[in-house]
Amino acid sequence: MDDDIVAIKTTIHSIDTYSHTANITVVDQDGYVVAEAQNYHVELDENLVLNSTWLLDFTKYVIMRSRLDRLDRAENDLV
Amino acid sequence: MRQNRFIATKDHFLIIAASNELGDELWAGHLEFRGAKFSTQTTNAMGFLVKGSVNSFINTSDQGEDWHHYAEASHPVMMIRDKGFTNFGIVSTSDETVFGSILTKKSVFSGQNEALVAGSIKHLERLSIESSEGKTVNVAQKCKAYQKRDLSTFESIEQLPIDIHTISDSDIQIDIEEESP
Repeated sequence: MDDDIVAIKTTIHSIDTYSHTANITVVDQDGYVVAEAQNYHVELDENLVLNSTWLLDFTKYVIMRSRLDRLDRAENDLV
Repeated sequence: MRQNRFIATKDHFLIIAASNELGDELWAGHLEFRGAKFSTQTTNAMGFLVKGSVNSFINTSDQGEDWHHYAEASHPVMMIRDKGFTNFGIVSTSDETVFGSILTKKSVFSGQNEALVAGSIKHLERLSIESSEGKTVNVAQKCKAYQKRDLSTFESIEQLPIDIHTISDSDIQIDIEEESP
């Protein structure tokens, strides 16, 4: 996929299958860093691979929450 | 998406619409209330753009929607329309836009202004705004909307309800630097 047209980028830096946690960075379409190398509890498949459906939903959730927060802040900057 | 916020000051009422996506509808002349035949005097307002850029349109239809391009604008800009904003439409042309409108406080609970704001204001907030105390009231409820418009025609674009799935799977790139063992 071309980096120029990808809107959202999620990078998995490392996965700890014992604790079911991963070190994750999420960057929104305009380059805004939503999460930078933060540890999250993650869902793994039976073969201890990161569940791709969960990962997509996780990314959408943190992006949506971030966008709502940024809307709030945009108004707070004004008043 | 767009988030609306309402603030009452001593003599005025501010409506603020913050948008975070290109194509967000910021204002559309309250088409749904057109049947009530609100006069333009009830929306004699000033508009201001403090962040981002917009395209604006004028609706020439008395019954429905027939939008014609009016002007492009980038912040900071102030808009004053002597015929009010009843037939005016504004769409965001940037990813981060903040548009606002200033009304006289005494006009807020009349005509189509009331139809616009009443649903978001609690009873005690309304009593405080209508009282003669002149206190500032920052309305607690913030209305979020996901309504898109075509940037060049202002034609309404049907949208899904706001939830995480308005973000498409194809918009997400996953990179795994270290595979699990």
